[in-house]
Amino acid sequence: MPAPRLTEITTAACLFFIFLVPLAGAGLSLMNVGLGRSRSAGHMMMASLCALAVASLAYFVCGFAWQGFIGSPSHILTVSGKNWNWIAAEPLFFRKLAFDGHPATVAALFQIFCVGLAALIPLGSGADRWRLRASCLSTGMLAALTYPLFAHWVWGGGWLAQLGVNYGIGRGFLDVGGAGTIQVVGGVTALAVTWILGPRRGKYSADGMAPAIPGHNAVLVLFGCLLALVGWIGLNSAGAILFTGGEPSGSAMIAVNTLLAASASALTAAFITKVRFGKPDASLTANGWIGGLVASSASCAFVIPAEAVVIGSVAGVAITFSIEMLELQMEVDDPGGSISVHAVGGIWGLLALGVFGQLQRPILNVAGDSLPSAISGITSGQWLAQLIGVATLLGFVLPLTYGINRLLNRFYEFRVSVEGERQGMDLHELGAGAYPEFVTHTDEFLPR
Amino acid sequence: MRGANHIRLLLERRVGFRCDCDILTGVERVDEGLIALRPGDFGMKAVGFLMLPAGWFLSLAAIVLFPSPPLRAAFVLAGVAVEALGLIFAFRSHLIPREEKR
Repeated sequence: MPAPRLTEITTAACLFFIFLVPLAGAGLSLMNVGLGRSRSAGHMMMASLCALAVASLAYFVCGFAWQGFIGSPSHILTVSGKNWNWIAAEPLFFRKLAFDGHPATVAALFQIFCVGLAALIPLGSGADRWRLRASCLSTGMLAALTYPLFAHWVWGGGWLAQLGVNYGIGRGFLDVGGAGTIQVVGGVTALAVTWILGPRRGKYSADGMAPAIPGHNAVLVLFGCLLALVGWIGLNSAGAILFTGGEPSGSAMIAVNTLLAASASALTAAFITKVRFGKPDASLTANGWIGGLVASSASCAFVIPAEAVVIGSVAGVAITFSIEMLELQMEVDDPGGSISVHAVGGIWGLLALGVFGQLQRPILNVAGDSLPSAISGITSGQWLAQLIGVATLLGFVLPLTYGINRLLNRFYEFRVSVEGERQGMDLHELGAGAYPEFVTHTDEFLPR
Repeated sequence: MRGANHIRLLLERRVGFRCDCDILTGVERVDEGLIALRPGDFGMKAVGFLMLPAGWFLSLAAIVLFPSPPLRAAFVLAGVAVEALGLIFAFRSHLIPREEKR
């Protein structure tokens, strides 16, 4: 499969959008901090920074070598006369990249930000109890193995992307902005980490009650949402150019769809919480906003704005009830709502592409232009391709990431000690609190 | 009806898959003599995490073995259903035992 070509203008536009992506990471980090306890706020921000650093280095060392890019050398298994492209065979340490504007170099830059974004997602679910070094170890494995493998299958010309070419299943598995590759991979890793860590002390009492442990700063959470919007517009636009062969002029529609999906999702979550609890809930509305962004990622380049509103609205409903079900029925303590927002929202986004996607234009990067459906405009079986992708995420990525993290937990315990949890992660692991002036000193109330 | 009772008890985490005679023996003996499956038990966890890749392999096999679209779709859906069941077991196996709640 030949590598796609980008004009200079397209490359420049793509680079501009890629430079917006770190804002999505900043937004997620602020949300994770705000939704956790104040005594672990500094630790969470430090963990976010360390996760980004570890993810970048791990991806540089071997991640890109195993992910590759469309047209790069890879290991292929032939089954019944069809090629199944399993893993890339690039040299380690970016050695083959010349950084001369070739699409592979632009993709490498994009991916190094994307893997950082995926690494931030599990931090939200492990808040207040996940040790810093353990989170770095887990991030290293995510960036070096789990993420590159699935990303190769979707964005590197792997077997999922070629389902259309090889078996006539739609246009192959499509994921424009990483709803599956980034968000669901991060979300299922968050689920695995939460299962291994267990709930925070005091979350589930013996009498069956699950008291709410509210986040400590709603301003950080809501500001994080605004930052994430800008980052997501960059993420979706750059993904559309690099992995579906879209033109930069299509970014206006992508940005509109991204914003509309987030808006519909956030308002739906606010409406549901207002109806059920009497007042709109800020943290659930923020989760709805991010969930809408996540759901928009898969299909933003292939739906009309009205469909983006529907996708966002459904995401808002699914995420709001999923958070409650996970917390109360499944006893999964996820302070940041990462599992519902990124895994549930992402899966819905992927399936929504199969339902609503209009795939008339050629999709160059999966050789979709050679398919008969591209000529006639009919895209039969796209829902099946999306479903196979979701089945891969649940049936392969989840057990893989659970096994890896469980193994790591045997060598280096993930969970902080009881004393550390009581003291707070800031003091216990970093030796200083994030808000030292919040401490009330008794001498302030003494007569002078 | 006895089978239905067994499934209900299974979902309520009172019995496990290892008690394969439950379906025939009925509910009354289940509570007394058969192996109770507590949350956190390795058995349920293992079943759940084996069913997840099993469902995925079913989906993969459907792609290769069935060129007919309806049959292929049916088997992929069956694979996803197996995964969903595995996910339910995985979630239930991670419920916190009452005595460990604090």
